[in-house]
Amino acid sequence: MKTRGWRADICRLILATLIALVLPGAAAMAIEGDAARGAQLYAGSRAMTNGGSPCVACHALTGFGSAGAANYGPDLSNLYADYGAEGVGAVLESLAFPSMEAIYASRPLTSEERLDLVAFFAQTAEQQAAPATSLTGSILLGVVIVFAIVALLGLRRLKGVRRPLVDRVRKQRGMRA
Amino acid sequence: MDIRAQVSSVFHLDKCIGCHTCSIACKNLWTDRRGNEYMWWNNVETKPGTGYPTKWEDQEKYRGGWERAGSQLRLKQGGKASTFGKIFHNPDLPTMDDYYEPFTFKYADLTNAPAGTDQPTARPVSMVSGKPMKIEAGPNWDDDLSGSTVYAANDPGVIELSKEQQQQLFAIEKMVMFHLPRICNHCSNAACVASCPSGAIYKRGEDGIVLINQDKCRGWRMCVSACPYKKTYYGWATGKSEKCILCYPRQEAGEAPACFHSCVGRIRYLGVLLYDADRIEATALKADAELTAAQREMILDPFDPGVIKAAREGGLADQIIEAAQASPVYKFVKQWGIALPLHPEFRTLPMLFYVPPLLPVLSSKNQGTQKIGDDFFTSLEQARLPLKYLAGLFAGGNEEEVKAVYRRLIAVRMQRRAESVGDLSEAELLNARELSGLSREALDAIFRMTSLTRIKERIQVPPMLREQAIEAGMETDEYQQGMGFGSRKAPKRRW
Ligand code: SF4
Ligand code: SF4
Repeated sequence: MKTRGWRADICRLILATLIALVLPGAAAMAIEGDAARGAQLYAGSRAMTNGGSPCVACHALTGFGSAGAANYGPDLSNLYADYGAEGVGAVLESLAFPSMEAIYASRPLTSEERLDLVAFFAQTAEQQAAPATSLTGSILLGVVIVFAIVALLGLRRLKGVRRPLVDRVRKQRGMRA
Repeated sequence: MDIRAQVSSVFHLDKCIGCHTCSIACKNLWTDRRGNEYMWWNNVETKPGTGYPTKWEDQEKYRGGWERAGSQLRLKQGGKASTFGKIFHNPDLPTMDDYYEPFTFKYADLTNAPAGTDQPTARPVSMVSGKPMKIEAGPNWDDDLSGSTVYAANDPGVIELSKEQQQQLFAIEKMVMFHLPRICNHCSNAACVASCPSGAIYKRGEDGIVLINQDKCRGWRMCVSACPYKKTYYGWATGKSEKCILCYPRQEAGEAPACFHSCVGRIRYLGVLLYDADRIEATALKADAELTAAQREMILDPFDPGVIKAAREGGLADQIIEAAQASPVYKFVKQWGIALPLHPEFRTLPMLFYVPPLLPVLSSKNQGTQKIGDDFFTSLEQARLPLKYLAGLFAGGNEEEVKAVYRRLIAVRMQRRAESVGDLSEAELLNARELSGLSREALDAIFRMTSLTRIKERIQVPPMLREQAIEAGMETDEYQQGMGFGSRKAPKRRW
């Protein structure tokens, strides 16, 4: 689904520009959310008040490993670094992306949840963990390794007895194979 | 002592004429189906030769049979863990080319071809792909020494011989060959049974026939590689492995197995042997050269009161003990000691025995002539087929075993010669009997058994006692009503 990808990108770009224009001093705003609660909301171990899906369902984030690296939505590892607290807060408020709107328009995040999530994203941005490899990538790698092992084992496979025997004898006598 | 009964056989190789009637009888009865074209549960090889599949005796390639690992036996292809590790890619399977690509001919072209300037021919076509093909191998490709410079020269037994012996073997005027009919040996230490990950192969308790349960077989083909005789085959149409069933349905009806029944040379003998199952492992662990003798040791005397008592206690019916006493196989293997197992060094304890071929009485020296009598025994070393070669086939390399058999066979010939031609002295005969270790009566009995018997004497199908076997497991009428003909499920995978 390429279209969704670039549409999301464009939306994100427009939003970011808007935020930057409308809220010039917002970067200085204090963060009051609870990062731990935010983490639970992100991972889905605490339900959203209005029934929205947890972020982990569609997004990848550093620190969640390959299993937590969904790739339906964009990777959020650099979200906070790119947009800052206000940017993120604003995005969470509207969630005006085509694929998210369908879910969150009727199940918006509460302001408290938004703050918690912002705090959580701020926290993850501080931890410079290695970026999560995508699950698809890991599976592909695993498959390649398994095939390589099978191929290596296959090297000592019995590849025929009669044909090589006849070929060898013919060669010894200088006959055409 | 854990006494078991085994339906065993003896093939007398001096009598085999290599007519392949046995193979055809078996093929028509059991393997004339799609997916089984290449299978010959019974095949006849020409020796020296590489056989079917090519070089099946070479376990460095095929990795069949058992090997000793310290004080234990281990499948040469690997134990349980290793089997599990390669369950999806058994690396030791023969390829189709090693058996041969099955073929037929387009006979219809002979009559249906449009008129032309040439005679129509029936072109060979593959029975696998249906496309025209070049025939390069067959199940009896070695027949009559065809391609002997390729195939016979690479017989695993021939390679072992010295250059001089090889040359002698192949010198045209002394060319020598014999036929080796092979079926599943229904081994008492069967490698196929041990290798099956699904537990689908079993040895019937009552008669020792080794069978593959077609419902349980999952087509892993571990038995195909584990059997050192290459006598289990994978049927690609059903996705199951199959093997010789020693015609148990015929035997249960009192008939001889089809290959035995049809044998033109009357080389085949069948009867019950009693053996001690407790000794299997110890026997199979013996050194190569001792295996033949140890296996003979494992076979028990059905006339011995102690054995009879133990057999009864072990649940063997009196009819089976009587059958064992009448068994011609017991006579060949134990009483006369002239039948040897094929490749005992594979350690599966095969229960099919061969009387090694004496071949035309000609030596490799003196233009092939030889004085009968004293000379005969002392000159065994000059026999046309090197003893070393035969010992490699039938005695794990122990030439003494083969020599002992030959002394007896020669003694039989001498006794017959004295009787019919009358040119041998009594002293010579006495010497012959002493060297062979057999009495005049025994030598006479060997002569009768090998030349004058009728089918019912040669092939003593034991009472199979199916009723008792069924009774042991369930009520007979429940069996009759519930099982009917037994399992008649069609395989899921079919052509
Ligand atoms: S000859 Fe092969 S198939 Fe037959 S019982 Fe022995 S190991 Fe099994
Ligand atoms: S039918 Fe008998 S004589 Fe003919 S090839 Fe078979 S075993 Fe030998």
